[in-house]
Amino acid sequence: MAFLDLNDVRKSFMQATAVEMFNLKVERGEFVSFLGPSGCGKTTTLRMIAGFETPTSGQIMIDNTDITFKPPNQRPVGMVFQSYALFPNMKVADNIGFGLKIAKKSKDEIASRVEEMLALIHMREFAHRYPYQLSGGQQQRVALARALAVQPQVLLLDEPLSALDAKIRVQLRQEIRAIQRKLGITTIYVTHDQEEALSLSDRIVVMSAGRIEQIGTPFEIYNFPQTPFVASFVGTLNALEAEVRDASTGRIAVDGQEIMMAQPLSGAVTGQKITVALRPESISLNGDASGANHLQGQVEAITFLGSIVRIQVRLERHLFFFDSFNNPHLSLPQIGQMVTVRFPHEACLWLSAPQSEPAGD
Amino acid sequence: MCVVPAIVLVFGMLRIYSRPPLALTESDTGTDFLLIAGYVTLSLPYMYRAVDTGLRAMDVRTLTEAAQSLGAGWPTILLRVIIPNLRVALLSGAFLTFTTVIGEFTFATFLARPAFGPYMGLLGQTRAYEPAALAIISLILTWASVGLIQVVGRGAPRQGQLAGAR
Ligand SMILES: Nc1ncnc2c1ncn2[C@@H]1O[C@H](COP(=O)(O)OP(=O)(O)OP(=O)(O)O)[C@@H](O)[C@H]1O
Ligand SMILES: [Mg+2]
Repeated sequence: MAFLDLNDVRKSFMQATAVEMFNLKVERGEFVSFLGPSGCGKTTTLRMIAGFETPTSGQIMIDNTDITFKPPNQRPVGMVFQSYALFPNMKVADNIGFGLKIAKKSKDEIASRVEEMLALIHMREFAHRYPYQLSGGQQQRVALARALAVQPQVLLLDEPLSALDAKIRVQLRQEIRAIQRKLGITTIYVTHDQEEALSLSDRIVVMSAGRIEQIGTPFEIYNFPQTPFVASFVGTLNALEAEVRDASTGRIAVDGQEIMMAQPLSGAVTGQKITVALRPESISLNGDASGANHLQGQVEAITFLGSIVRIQVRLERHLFFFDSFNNPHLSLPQIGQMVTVRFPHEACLWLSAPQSEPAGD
Repeated sequence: MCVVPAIVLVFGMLRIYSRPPLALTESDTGTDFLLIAGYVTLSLPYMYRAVDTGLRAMDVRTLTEAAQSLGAGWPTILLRVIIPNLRVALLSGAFLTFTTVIGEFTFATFLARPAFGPYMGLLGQTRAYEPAALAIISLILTWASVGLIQVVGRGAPRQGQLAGAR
């Protein structure tokens, strides 16, 4: 049986349902992210695991013990908050030792454990500072150490990095992952940042409007999205309207230009309008021509983004963009120039329902 | 600050508590109790203000949750987390109360307690120089407690950086 097990968990506030039919099994030592847009119920689910909310129905188990109705202070769970939530009246060492003191550990034991945790977060020399004397990144590391000091069985993090600036965010997320690996602690990480989820997780739970859309490894989530929502929320993509020409072979047409899908379009009929998605990184200007799709269009804009260059191409009606890796020898097309782009068949994803919203950021 | 003027309050008290079943004014202790009750009413807004500001300055909910997830129960959270962080607010509320109450005249006079206010009034009617000395003493006392608020506020870890600002 799984180490952390959420069974048909549901939570509603008054009339509104925040989380519905949440089923998740997390193995011991696994790093799982909850990813989804604002208001989709990530925090609510996390808070139910921590015990700050009680599920309306369903069951939560940790290591075969039902904890659904246990108060938060009796759960083997550590929590890290977006706002750090360090105790302002206590020095760093006392913050880290707080949980141990409550567990009535001996003075020596507390001191050595605090020392150990300070070493883990590389903050030995900050033991005698107050939280307000630390930077945001340092405060969050202390908060992590404080949560880990009592050796919880499950670590919960609710957008721990979103109050920090971009550079620290990347650095600290690697550090969190390294510490998690070292201790082998089962971890749930809430984020609305897909890059964070993709780079950190063993598995990602993509949520939307209180429901799980898909659970899978970052590789599966990114390359094989199972719902239109996942396809459009994870990664950036071009959503194009197409007409089915031959459902059995997967032949479709975008603005009159025919392309092939990797799979037959089961359930679609000839002439039906469908929406397909194209990942910008799988399109190229000079790719291998054999057996691939190609589309012809006019370059409309070229945006320099540092490591990549984003090129916008207009078909008859549709607009799509693709990315080229930047290098000093890159020869870019001119704006207004006609170009032919290529992409493999499997770069084309069928989004069954037409997308009302454009591609993510 | 008080919605009901002190004079109204004290007459109300006298009317109710000078006859059975609760004849508190019969004894000194009873009257002391009435005086304290009156002063509590008088200083409640100040105290409320101070504590309210203190609570707003910290994220009580998240701090409570953090402490809970570390295994703390309610008594521990209150004693080790909330109250220490309210220290400055509580003390400044207390000093404000002290400065209001020390010069209070109405309650003390009508309840006939030998408090500082009536004492000053009495001396003013009968002596020549002592009232001046008393006035200076009360001024010093008041200023000393205002000063103490500043000192205590400076000692708090959170306001450390703002010590220079007034
Ligand atoms: N205490 C509450 N009372 C009523 N509704 C609530 C409460 N807490 C959350 N909700 C509602 O439940 C839904 C899910 O909220 P939740 O905080 O879990 O979202 P989230 O996924 O964490 O979003 P974000 O990324 O913005 O933090 C929201 O629609 C929210 O309005
Ligand atoms: Mg949230």
